[in-house]
Amino acid sequence: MGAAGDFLAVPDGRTGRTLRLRPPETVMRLARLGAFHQTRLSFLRATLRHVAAAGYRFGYDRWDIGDDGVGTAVYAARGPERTYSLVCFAHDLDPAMRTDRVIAEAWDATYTLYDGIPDDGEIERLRANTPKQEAGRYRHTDLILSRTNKSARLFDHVVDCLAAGRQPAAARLDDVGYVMRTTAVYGNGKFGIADRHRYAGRAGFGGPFRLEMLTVWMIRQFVADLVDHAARAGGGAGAVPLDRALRRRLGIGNSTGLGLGPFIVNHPALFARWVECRELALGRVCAQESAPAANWSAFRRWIARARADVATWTVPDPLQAEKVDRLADDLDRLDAFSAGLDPASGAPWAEIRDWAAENLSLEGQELTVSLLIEPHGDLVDDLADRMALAETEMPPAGLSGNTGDLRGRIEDGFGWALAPDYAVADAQARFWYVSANKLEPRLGERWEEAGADLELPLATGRDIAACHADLCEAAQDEQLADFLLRRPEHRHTVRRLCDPELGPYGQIRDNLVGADLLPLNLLRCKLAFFGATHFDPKSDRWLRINMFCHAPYPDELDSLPPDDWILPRRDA
Amino acid sequence: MPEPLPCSLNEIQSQATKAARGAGLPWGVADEAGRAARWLEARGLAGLSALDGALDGLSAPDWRRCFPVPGGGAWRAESGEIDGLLAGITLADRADGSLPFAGGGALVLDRVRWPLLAVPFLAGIAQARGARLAVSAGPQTPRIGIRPHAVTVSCRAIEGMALAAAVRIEEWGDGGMPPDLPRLDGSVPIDKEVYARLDRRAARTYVPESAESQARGAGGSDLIETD
Repeated sequence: MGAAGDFLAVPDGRTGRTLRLRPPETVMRLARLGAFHQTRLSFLRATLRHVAAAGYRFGYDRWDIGDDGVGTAVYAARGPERTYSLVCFAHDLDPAMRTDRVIAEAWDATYTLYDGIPDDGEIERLRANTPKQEAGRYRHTDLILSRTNKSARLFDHVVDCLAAGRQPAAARLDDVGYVMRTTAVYGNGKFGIADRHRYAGRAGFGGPFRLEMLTVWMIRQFVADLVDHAARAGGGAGAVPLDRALRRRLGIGNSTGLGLGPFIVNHPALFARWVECRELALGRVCAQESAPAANWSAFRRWIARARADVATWTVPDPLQAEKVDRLADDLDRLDAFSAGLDPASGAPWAEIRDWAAENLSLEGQELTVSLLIEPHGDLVDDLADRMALAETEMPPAGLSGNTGDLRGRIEDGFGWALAPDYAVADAQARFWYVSANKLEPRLGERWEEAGADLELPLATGRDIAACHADLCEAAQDEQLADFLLRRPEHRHTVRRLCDPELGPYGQIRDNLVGADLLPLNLLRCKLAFFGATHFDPKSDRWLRINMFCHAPYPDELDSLPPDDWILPRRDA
Repeated sequence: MPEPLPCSLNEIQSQATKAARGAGLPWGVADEAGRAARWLEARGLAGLSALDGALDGLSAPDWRRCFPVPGGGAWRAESGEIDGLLAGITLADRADGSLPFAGGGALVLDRVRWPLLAVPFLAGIAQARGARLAVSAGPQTPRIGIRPHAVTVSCRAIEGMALAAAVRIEEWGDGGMPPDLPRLDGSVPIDKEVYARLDRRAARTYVPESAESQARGAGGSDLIETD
């Protein structure tokens, strides 16, 4: 991989071409990462494509919910090789106990995605644990753990409408976007559930967070069925089920706080892979000399769909509202600019990308990336299966090189880390820590609060600079192994710098403990890779999102395409 | 003995990492401890228990003196007792270079606490060098064979060993190896008392939230969360 002008030149095995990718110094800035939008490669979209292509059949094996809305349901996703069961427990939650905080102790509904078909004994075991969530214990047969709370704005309203025999107003549904929200979706071994390596080798589920996304999608089916059930229980024969088209306007909401933030910093090689695949997809699209007519007209339609969708993206947060306004303007300009291009010559996709970089906001540029990728499923969808890393039990043994080598690499490639003057208070005004109260990552003020001595290793730039300073003090021919024997406090930094999997997009090139850090960007970026939409910031450190809004339900997969719902047609 | 706690490997790794950090080890070293504990427990070896024992000695301010000092065919620690985890790290870092046991030689580590913790790193060296290693922890214990990703059942002999007078490492040679310990399939049973002790060490990495921090929180207490 090498630099080619302002681009990274990368050989692409699939197309046999050398692609020109946006360079890490452009892409890996936190403000840009925090402007990412979902793409075809996003995890929930890739999951739906897989279950549709593999012919999964969905249905419930058990519906034991009383008129009071309390009980148990089991949904099955039957695939060609395996069945996954969502075991759902619906509860009678005192509204006073309903909180989205991850530290809550009770929820409206709780779930376990089970590997296979649970017998009665297994359901009883889960009944004793799943409702307790983090306080329960789980086994390797339990794949994913989650819970949802009702939207106080919408759940009862929808049920009341249906019980009275009428449909709720579409505008009212759009205003909230969901009737239930998840407050956590746990995978990969938490509280004793299955380690990821148990299922990472299964066809279709090797990609990141696929089973988590399957779980949320199946929860959405349960929630829709629960709404109809509650309406029937309240309205009797006069009740009506929620209209299918209205039902699709409802996704599953999610509240996400700082707990999500450290992941993409703590898993730099994995995150680098996500970003690289996204940039590869853009690179493949932009390497085409011309645009086939069908793709070009699809692109133009996607712009129209995006314009309509952004018009519905209303947020109270003034900063985000301003960005959304600018984005709407950007899309108008993108529409006008692309209308004037000749798709038959002159590498039109690359021209759009480069024009956007010069003329649009970060939100506009990154939504343009999504739109450029969108009509090119045949060209890019294989990348969705390359976004995971094979897990290694132990890092490869052997630290080759000496201190002079590493010092040179830092000076050549990590100027962003060396640039801040960390002696200035603002340069490390914050520190990340695990809260004793919540057992969740939090962000503290270093000069005002105690606990900075226990900070999490997320100050990557500062730590690289500290390592560099000590490397400068060392004899330049000292072996790295000897350096770390003397200075083991730099081990996490040296490991990060020497990780062979890291790739060009391996570091977020910003100070993650500076006074000007906007932690929301870390969360937004990860959620965009999930495939979330309608980001709704509630502060600089938590936000609401929607997942699967407008997607088909599992019980509609036979009749609707699995991946033509994002940025929905507003005439639908 | 109380019923064991069924754990996932990720949970074991996370618990071990936090406990090692809670004991005062730097994050990078704690991360190695977590990986080593996971590697061992995945093969039914009591990695968490060994780590818990090792952390007693590594909690002291002068823990760095428990690193072996490389040089010649016999390595010692300044403290007089090499820590098994630190021995493993030190050896693995040198896998690319010349180790005394390459080419028919041997390395003797003098007085090693919790030698079990070095095994995952030796398996990494075996992989990096395409070699099979033999480890002896004294005349009373059988020879342990180590290959990439695997260790022989004889490793059980050092499972609870808190101190080996000497650990000898050399290449296995041409002879056949005893069977490997199989990798566990499913949840890993962990001694609840050990887990609880590590929990207490891990708790030292947690920071009590200040009132200001709680107000800012992950969300902000002034915001309605239930709409």
